[in-house]
Amino acid sequence: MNNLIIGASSGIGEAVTTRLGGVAVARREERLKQFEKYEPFDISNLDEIEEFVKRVAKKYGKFDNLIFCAGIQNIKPLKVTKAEDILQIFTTNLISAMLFAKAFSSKRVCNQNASMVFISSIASLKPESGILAYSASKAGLNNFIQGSAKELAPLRVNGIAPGFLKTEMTEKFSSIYTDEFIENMKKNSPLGLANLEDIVDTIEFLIESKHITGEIIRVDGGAIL
Amino acid sequence: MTKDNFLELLAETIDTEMELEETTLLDEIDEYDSIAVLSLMSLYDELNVKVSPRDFENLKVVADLIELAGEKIE
Repeated sequence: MNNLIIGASSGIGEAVTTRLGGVAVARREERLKQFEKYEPFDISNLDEIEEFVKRVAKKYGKFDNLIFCAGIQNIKPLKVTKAEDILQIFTTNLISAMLFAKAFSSKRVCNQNASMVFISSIASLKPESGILAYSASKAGLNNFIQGSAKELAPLRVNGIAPGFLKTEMTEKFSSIYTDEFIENMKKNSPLGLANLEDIVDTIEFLIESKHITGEIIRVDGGAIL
Repeated sequence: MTKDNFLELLAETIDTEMELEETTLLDEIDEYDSIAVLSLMSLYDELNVKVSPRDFENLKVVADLIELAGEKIE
């Protein structure tokens, strides 16, 4: 399958590209060189997304799946959150996701039975203090997944809402996500914490399931319960 | 940054109407809770001072918050 994987330089994106293969897209070229096919691109360049996707489809052929894993998080209570913090998070987590979906849905870019999978978060369903902008952006993404599943059918559009994962994104906040915090999260999840491979398993399931669309699957070990 | 400016910034960040002084007990500030600590971490981050939630665990008075900012405060 010809996959277009956005946010492939680390975390879920890197894991899914390693397992399933495809054209890896991310800002940091040096992190993409491990893959056979890659295209460096900064997804915050919103005006360039459509042309970029067209160009990549021309180069590698029509795609079967868009797997959108790019995402950023910031831990800041609302009272100290600035407009630019919110804008930055929404640009990466929601607006670029929507624009990639728009570009991907073109018949010149994807095959007839193509699908899209977006990485959301359980924070979209159960917002937590300190990450409101992140939670709201992912809640918006959930809504977009369901709406675009209607509008873009027969293309299938699905999402995954992981619980806490040890990735580069969360390691940035290691002073907050301490070992003690992670142990606590494990205790509160009936099945413990998921790992990247659990997420990739679910991506694989979603792209192969021909009659599932508009679905957002929690992969959180029951943490939300 | 002067100590007075920092005290004002602390009050604004914690969102308290109390007049903060170096001797003010943190326990006496109603708004000083876990969210306030996250807000303060963001403030220290802007000052390029690396802190973790643990650094706040044993603080007693506002002067301890000033000390945490180290040489950033004149």
